[in-house]
Amino acid sequence: MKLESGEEIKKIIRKHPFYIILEVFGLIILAILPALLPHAIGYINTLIAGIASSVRFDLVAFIPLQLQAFLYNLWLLTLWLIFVYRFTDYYLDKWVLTNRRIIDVEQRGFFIREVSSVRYPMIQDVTISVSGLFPTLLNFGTIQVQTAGVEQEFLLTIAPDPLINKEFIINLKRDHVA
Amino acid sequence: MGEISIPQLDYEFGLGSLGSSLWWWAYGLFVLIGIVFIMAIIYHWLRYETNTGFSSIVIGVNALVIALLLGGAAINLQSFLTIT
Repeated sequence: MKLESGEEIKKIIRKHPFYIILEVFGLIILAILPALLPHAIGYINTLIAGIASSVRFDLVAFIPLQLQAFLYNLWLLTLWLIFVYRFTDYYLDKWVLTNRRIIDVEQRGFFIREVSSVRYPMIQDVTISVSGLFPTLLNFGTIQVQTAGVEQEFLLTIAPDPLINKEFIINLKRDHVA
Repeated sequence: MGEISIPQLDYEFGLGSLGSSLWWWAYGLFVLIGIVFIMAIIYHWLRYETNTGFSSIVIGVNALVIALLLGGAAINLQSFLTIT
């Protein structure tokens, strides 16, 4: 993303952290699950003890502790790689508002990256929508910029402070035109 | 009615030198994935993020966590193969 001479970055808008926090929460649960397996097996043993006393599941006899630790290490590594991949996607996906245009950087994973821009005179309308419990409580929503160009609209979902950002874009457009 | 029983699960995880090699190959695959990831992260964060301070932190923390987890896995695998 190269800026033109005299072009200044006024603001960078990324998706609301709720997006990534939700994923981190899911990954933490996945990280904890294998650690709970011995407890779950112990509970099953207690339950079936009254039915068939000769049946008993022994995780350590089946998979030695060292192997369990090794597999758990690899499991954590997998989750970490998923987190870093998602975080990179989250952080590098952004709207850059400059004094001349809006640059939309769409990062999808490691291998797809699209950069498009719209100049302020081309912007026809900026609309926002906030719908749902979490968007209302945490103040995030969708910002939609309609343009007169070939690319008809720019869309940023899960955008933080939609109203403030909308005003910011409108002010930048006004300043630019003036 | 006879007593309910489950078959004896008699797995041999070590499987001698062949099994040992297979475990290390599996580990090597993760090392390879880890290295590819570290390189991909360095490439993306140095190329696309203008805040170099934050990029350095992300690159450093990522490499450190991957190294720690791979190191821990190697120690545990070595320990497992020693006892089998």
